[in-house]
Amino acid sequence: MINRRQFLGFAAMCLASFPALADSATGEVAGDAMVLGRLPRDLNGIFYRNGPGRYELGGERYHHLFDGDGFAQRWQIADGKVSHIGRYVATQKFEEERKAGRFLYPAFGTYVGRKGVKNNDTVNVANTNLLPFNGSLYALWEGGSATEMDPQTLATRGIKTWRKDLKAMPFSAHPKTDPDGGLWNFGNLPGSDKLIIYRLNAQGEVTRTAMIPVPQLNMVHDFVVSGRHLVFLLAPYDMRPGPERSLAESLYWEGDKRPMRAVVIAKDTLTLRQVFELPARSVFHLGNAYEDGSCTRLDAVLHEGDALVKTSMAAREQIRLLRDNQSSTVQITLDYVSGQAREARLFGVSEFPRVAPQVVSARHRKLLVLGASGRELILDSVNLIDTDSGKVDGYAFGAGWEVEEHVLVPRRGARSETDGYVIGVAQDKHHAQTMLTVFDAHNIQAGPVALARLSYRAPACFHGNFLAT
Amino acid sequence: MSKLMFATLFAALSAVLPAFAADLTIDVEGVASADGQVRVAVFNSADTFPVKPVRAVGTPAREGKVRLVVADLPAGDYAFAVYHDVNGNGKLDRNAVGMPTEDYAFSNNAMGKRGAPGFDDARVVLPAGGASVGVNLH
Repeated sequence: MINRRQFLGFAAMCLASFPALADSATGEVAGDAMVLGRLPRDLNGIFYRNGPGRYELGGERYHHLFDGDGFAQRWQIADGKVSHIGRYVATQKFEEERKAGRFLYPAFGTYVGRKGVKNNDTVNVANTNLLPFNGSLYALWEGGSATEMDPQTLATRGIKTWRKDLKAMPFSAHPKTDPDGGLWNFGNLPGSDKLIIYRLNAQGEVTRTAMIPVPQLNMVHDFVVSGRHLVFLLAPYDMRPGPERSLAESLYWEGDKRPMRAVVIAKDTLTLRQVFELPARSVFHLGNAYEDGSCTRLDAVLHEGDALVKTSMAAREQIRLLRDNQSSTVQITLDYVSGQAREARLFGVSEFPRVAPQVVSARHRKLLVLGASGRELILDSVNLIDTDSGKVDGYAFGAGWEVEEHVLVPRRGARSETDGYVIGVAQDKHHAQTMLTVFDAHNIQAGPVALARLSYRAPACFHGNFLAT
Repeated sequence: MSKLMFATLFAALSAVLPAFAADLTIDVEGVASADGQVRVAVFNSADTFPVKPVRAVGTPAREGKVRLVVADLPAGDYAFAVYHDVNGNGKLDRNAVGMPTEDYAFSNNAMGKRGAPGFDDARVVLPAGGASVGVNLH
């Protein structure tokens, strides 16, 4: 996701107490933001976001960035005003542990074994993404079911089973929208070496599924969809589970032995078409993919070495700066004729790639990423890359800011990928306040056209999506 | 054999029967719905747990709590697995990656680190006079 230094900054944000949170069962926060600048009149909608909110309970602290229980947030932009609410996702795990007053179950990177795990949804923390889809809202995690939420209040409705026979099947946090209004998604239960593929129509019905055997499929977080393919990048991790070991502690970096693989699935048959090899790197997020003659081109953020397991720390008191896992955004070209994969560098240290929603699985020319600068490499800039020319339109918030994922929001009937806005969230660390940011997508470097400042700090998020209203 | 002798023998048998035929009463809480059956499988040794039960019984599900009585078991040590067979197909369903998709629990609400607990953790003692134990499917 992010390199070690970025992680330390991000983790500090996550692990710091956030005073806005009432010490209640739901952790509810609500507030109106103070708008600075000019909020575009045609920008109306809801920005749903999700991230790890609870890292500590009963004096015990999680060790890994991915461990925290989901905290869902909803920013509403309407009539020139911005309001915010947030609350914990009331998963089974969250509720049981809240009542017990202590952690009971293992988290991704922290082993807790007070209660046995009946299935993968027992440990579902629903902390990775928040997806509005088909009039409903889903808090997503990597290893289990989606959790349905109330789109207005963010009250938790419960585990979503898309079809009876798919109960408790992993449904990843990075589904991709299809031009027909439906979704593509995948799932992977670490250690099962099976890639599950889902195709949902716009009504939320599962129309196709497949189970594709992939050896050593131990960690896959995201994927891309092109016109004809689904592409997965698999970092070389081995899985060696043991007693009293968390999942992260069971994953071993094998980058000196094995390459990174690009696994290509044909959309028409949902079968494996080809596997490409690339130099070993770790990877979380991809941008988009499109077909170009006998090639598929896709963007991804690749990290040197093991960025997954190292994104942890023994304890807050024992933060040690180890070597960085420098990342870069690249365009990968998969050539089906030669069987070769090529890489072209698009951007330096970066994360959280996104494209405009209207170009997902089609030819795109713009890729939005966060960049990091300074000695600590904190994510502090918003950058729109032209993937054809390599030119970058970017804005750096600078020291004292920590920038979170930004997304492209097209104007109604947008004629290009930059015909619209870029919105996101930035943390003003000095004032301990959280801000919604709005940029003109065709002029990022001019800085935000509007900032909406909360009087409190909201927990840092991983991913979110904008729903125009 | 005269009727009297038969009656006497029967009486004698009845007198000693409880020593060999204790009832294990299981109160199952956390039943999510009234669909299907709640089923229990009882095991009498570490070697057979949780694969070869000595006895299996079921009762129609009812939301909340149901009672199962496993009658006439010899006094001794047991462990049991209980599950809510929502679709009534007689087995604990699993999804395509092997995860159980129906509610289940073991005696003492014991759980292993991955799946079933050991027999010792799930052990319940059934004395000659019978026993009543609770278990929660949640």
